[in-house]
Amino acid sequence: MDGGEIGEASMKIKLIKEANVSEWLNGIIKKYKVMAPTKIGKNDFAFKAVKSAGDVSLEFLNPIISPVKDYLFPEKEVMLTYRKNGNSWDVESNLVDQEMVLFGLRSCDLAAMLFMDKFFLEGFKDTYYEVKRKNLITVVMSCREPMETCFCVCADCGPSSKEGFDLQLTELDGQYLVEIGSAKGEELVKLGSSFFSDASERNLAEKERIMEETKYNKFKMPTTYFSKAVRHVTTDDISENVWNKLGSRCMSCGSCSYVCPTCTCFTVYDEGDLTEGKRVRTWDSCMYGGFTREVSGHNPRAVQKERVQRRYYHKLSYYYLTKMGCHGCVGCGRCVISCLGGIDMSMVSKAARRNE
Amino acid sequence: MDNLYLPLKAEIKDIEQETFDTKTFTFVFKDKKDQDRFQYEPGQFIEISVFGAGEAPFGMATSPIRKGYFITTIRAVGKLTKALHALKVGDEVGIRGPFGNKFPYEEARGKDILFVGGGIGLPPLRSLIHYMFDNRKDYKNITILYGARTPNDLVYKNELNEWAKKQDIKFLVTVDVGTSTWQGQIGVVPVLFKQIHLDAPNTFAFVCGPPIMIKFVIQDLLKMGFKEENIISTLERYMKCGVGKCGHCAIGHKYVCVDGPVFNFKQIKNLPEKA
Repeated sequence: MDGGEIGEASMKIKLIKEANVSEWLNGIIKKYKVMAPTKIGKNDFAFKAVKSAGDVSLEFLNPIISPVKDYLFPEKEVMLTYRKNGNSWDVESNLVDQEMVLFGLRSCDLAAMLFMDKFFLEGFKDTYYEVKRKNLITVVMSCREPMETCFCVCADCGPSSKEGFDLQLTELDGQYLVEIGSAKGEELVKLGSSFFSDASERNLAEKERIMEETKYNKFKMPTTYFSKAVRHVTTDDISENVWNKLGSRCMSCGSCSYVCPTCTCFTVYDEGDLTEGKRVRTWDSCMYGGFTREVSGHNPRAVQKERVQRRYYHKLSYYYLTKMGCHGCVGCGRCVISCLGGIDMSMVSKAARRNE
Repeated sequence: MDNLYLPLKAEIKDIEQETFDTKTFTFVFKDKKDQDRFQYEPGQFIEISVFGAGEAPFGMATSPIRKGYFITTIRAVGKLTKALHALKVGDEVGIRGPFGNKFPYEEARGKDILFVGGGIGLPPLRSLIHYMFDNRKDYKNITILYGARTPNDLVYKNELNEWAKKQDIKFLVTVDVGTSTWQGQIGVVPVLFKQIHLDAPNTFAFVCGPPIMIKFVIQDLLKMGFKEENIISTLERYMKCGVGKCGHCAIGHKYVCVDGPVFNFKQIKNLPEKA
């Protein structure tokens, strides 16, 4: 590369005034199905399909269920419908082929999406994920106010994304810096072209400064040293006592897997009878005894300790890391909130490191 | 767009009652194009759907060389297998696959071959046994050892009689518990090792059966001097998708459905969880 301005500047950057965002968003809503953060209750938020910008709350706390996981790989999904027809069957695939804008995604969830892309779309391509993914347009909002449980900085997944988004918005004073990551993102900008002005290198530098400040001053979680945890989990030199302790604290509720945006395990079953019904898939969890129990009653992971060990082997071992290009944690902190036994990535990482 | 999870339709052409709880099903795809396209390797498996009861993986019990149909032998133990047993000739099921890797039959060429099957573990080996019968000149001495709980639990009884008469293989069978009419060997499979002579370092062993049998057989084979990488087994795990996505069949970072189901003992030994 020659000169300083290539690199980051190769991505187009724009500015939009905060006051104009609603009108721009309404333009997007006219053309696309849009899911965005909405306020539900006093201080709780959820991503929902919105009818107008008025439904959207851009000052929001990231919800406990990852919006991108819930859209691309929902908690429950109808795969097929079947109906008996004489001796034969009528079987229909249930594929949702519609463009969708996910507006206000956080960097951690975008990182989780890139992780899921690799998992679901390499080797055998998961058809249900693929169809929704090719239709998905992502608008990321950098985090200026992380929650107390966030540690994306330790996972190198936030508070702002480096790549993989269609658009990324970062709040500067009274306006947003808009980074255009793809042609699809550019299309969204065109829907409100009169609201956008060109941004300068100075605006970009201002964004970088603000995000650095957020990184170093606003995260409250103790640092999660992934590299050491990866080493200990991989070499399996963590004492049995540590796993026993973690196993005894786990209530096998599975919430860690449900809230984890990189957890992708599922089960499949038929809803209906032997003449008509639906084949569905739902999230599953390796924390459940039934996850590996065979019909004979034999269970290769018979005790909870082995299941906890399994989960963290999957998240942290070097073998998975080389397969996926990164470890299986984006630092969203959801397991910190959900686990009643206090077993979460940060805590396990510390236990692995200290071997106690 | 092709749907990875959409089963193709196949008709049950024949059902053979093997034992009180085990049947052998012969399937042919409804669409001839599907049947022609269905190429598989010995050791691979398919996912069978009975709509309303679900879907589960089963090993193929036929050699891919014998085209035009495929066979699986299934014991009725769970929801899906019981629903499958209730079906009749002419009924239709859904099939996805073939999935998984294969038995290393190329590497085994020119070597002696030992098969050790226990109970319902014989059917997956049968796909390779037939393949080797069809390519008999590629392999040296072939020995087949088969054990079941009782004479009534032996599958493929007619075929076993044929194997016993074959001059170009050695076939021995044993049962854990005999009956009044049983005149053959009694005892668990490893007792048969005393009746055969093997050139252990030059033999490939293919072992399939209940976990406890596999464990003791492998111990004996290692004592006899078999190379770890020449002891081949096919693993089972609770499994949903068959394509490396649902996560159930993972053993450490290996997935039985895509990295297996066929593993050699060296690989099994190095898995970070017990196989």
